[in-house]
Amino acid sequence: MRARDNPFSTSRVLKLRYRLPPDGMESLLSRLEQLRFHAAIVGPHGSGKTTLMQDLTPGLRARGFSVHYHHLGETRRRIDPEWRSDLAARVGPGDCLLLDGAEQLSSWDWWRFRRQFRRAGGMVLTTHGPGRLPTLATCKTSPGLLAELLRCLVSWPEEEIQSVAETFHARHQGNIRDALRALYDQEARMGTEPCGPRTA
Amino acid sequence: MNELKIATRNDVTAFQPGQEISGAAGWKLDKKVDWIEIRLFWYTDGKGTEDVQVVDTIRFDNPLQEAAEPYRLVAPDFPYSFSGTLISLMWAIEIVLASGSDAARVDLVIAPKAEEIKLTPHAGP
Repeated sequence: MRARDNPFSTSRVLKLRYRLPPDGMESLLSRLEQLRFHAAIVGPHGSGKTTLMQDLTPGLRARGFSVHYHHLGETRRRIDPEWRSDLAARVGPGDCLLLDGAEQLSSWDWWRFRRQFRRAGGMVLTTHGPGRLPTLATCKTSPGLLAELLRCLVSWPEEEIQSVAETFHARHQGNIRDALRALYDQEARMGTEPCGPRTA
Repeated sequence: MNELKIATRNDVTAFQPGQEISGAAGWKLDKKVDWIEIRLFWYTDGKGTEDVQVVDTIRFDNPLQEAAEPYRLVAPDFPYSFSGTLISLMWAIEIVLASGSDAARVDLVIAPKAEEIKLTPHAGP
């Protein structure tokens, strides 16, 4: 199977947005406002924290913020010094910082970050555990959620979707991102090898 | 609602490097914009991070709200359109508004023989 035809290709997966109830985004933004736009999105790997953070952006812009996104991860554990110094020099009440992967910062680096950007009107983090800022939302996954996402990506029979969702959610300990990557590999193999059951 | 259209001459969408890519782009806008661009670019899709590179542009400054314009570009020498199981590289031509809010595009193939190169698993020597 060609990469671009794979139903789990990056472009298709990135089109999936965080699942919220119909008025969920507005109530989340109201809660964020109550927290004076300083809050954390908490959850384990692959539970949708980054997606939810990105989905907050239009609402923050509609409230007049300039949004500044920065991502930390296992390959980049420190804040880019250029980004930091450039923004720190001009940050103000009209700026909202989105720091994705705040658990990568040591206590000292986190303290420095908060101090350096204390004038920012907003600061939203994603992190694996609560504590750095008041919790805005806790992201959780379930086989049902994975099944819902699969329905957006493939047109398999419902029984197969349920079965794949159960299997892959358990196999990847609830990490939806890893589950979808594994499904990518499985689809890629099935395009070049004799077909077998997807849950094998 | 803005209407944007872009097409290639005779609806040909596969080209060899160095070949001319021509056609027309048209638009009908709700309000005036600062500029409109036609962009020739490649992008990747597959398992990993997406990549994109614009290689040529034609810009129309202060365009009329409704117009059609011909365009003419040359298919670059590289990279070629290809697909394997992990990554595909694709070319496209698009028309995009200054606001970035609207766009229309046509996917292209640019490669020798005007055919996408297919990478297949190799069993080894």
